[in-house]
Amino acid sequence: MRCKSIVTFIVSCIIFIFAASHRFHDSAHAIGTIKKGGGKARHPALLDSDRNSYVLIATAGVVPPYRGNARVVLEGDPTLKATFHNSGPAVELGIHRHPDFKENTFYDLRPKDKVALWVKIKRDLTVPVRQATTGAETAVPSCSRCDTESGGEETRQPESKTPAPESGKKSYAERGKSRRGGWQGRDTGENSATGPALAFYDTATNERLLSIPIRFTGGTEGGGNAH
Amino acid sequence: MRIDNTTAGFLARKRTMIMIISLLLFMTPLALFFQVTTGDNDFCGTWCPRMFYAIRQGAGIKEVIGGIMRAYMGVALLAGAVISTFFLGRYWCSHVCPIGGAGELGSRLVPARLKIDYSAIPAPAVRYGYLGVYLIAPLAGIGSLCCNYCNFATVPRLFGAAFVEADLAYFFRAYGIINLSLFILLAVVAKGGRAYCNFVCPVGALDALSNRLGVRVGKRVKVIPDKCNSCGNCTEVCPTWAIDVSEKARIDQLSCISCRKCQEICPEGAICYGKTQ
Repeated sequence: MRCKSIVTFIVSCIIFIFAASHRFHDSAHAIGTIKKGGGKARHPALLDSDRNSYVLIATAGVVPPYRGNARVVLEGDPTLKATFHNSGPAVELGIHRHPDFKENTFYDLRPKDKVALWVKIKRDLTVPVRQATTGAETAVPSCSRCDTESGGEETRQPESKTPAPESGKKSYAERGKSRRGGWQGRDTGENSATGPALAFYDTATNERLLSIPIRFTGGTEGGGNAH
Repeated sequence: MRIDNTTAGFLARKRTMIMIISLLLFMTPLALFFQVTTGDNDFCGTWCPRMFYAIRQGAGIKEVIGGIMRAYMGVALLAGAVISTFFLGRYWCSHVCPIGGAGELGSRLVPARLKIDYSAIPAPAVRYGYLGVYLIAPLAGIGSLCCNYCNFATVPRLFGAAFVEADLAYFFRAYGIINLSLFILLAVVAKGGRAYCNFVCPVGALDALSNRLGVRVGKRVKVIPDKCNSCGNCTEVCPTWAIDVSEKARIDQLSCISCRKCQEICPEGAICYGKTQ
């Protein structure tokens, strides 16, 4: 009996170590902060380039003093189709306030609100993606170094000084195709070189509040944060 | 050894009703418990009882404390479960936990002939292999079992999938499918409905340690050897296969969840809940 327990323990450890170390590449969890002047994404979301559908879970806290409505877009090259689903209670009892999410926009975001967005992404496999190279830029950072509250090592978004794409006038797919390598009317340079990103824009000022870069890997890395 | 017997109380008699009420309180669509307290939707976030002790490689005290502060209600929940178990037995696991309750209640809907009997597998060996990897893998930088294989994330989203598209989206990915499969295989079609709890729940693993360590101090489900006739009825009903009847029935407190099914079924009244004096 003891021998059986020991063998079972060893086999279990092997299985669980494999489960802990192996990552699936069809989903990622990205964490960031929504902040006036540009919030911070903890790290890029890493997805496998060999797949055509993904689920991106984006969670973010609203940093004071930002208050307003935030539009969510999936921007950059290549063209990605996305549907956004807000995580919220099925029956809203109204005891605690939750930001409303309609037509890809969070309404009435207030300081210290927390949002959790589930983004189902579809990609056209015939359109190549720029794969993230291995190295410091794209290696998944240890989250011990990432702390959005302490301002540790993170992917910092440049302050958004150029206007964001105007919403509503063109669909995401149309805007992506209208100018190869960048948004029409907005040459970020950054996104066209580095890939798509999930971005939050203030609806009143078009200021970018948060941008979560999405990177595609060769299939041996992926998943984003190891948690 | 004289055992101070406590007659089967309200908790033991009404366990099924308590589990159902727990599901209504914790699970979508109402999620009353979360909505009334912190405004969360489910266990993910403030109520997470798992993440704050999955400490990553290189994390300093500041990061550890930050994790505890972010999931402060999960810390309180785990502490409450462990402390209450130490003195009273594993009532959190057997009566209150909506995750275990969902599995066990679900398994009651499945015909016995379709269920899988996992009792041949030594549960503590699997459970503490899991807990060991759960704690050490992130520390060693190997990876993590924390969020990707989380029962506290999967089951609430299973309830919510019919109501909330975000919850449905959870299952449109490899981890969602794996976790759903694990829940079905280890809970719904498992004999007793508790193989998931018995094998791969870190909260249950810690609670079981508390149960074992508090044997001399607290109340436990125990066998009165003089009355036991080794009929084996208790073994048949135990959802966590914690009872061995090689000679007289003996309860492994490292696996017993204090559900007291054995006490109900014992024809000789040889099983009781009480304190060892």
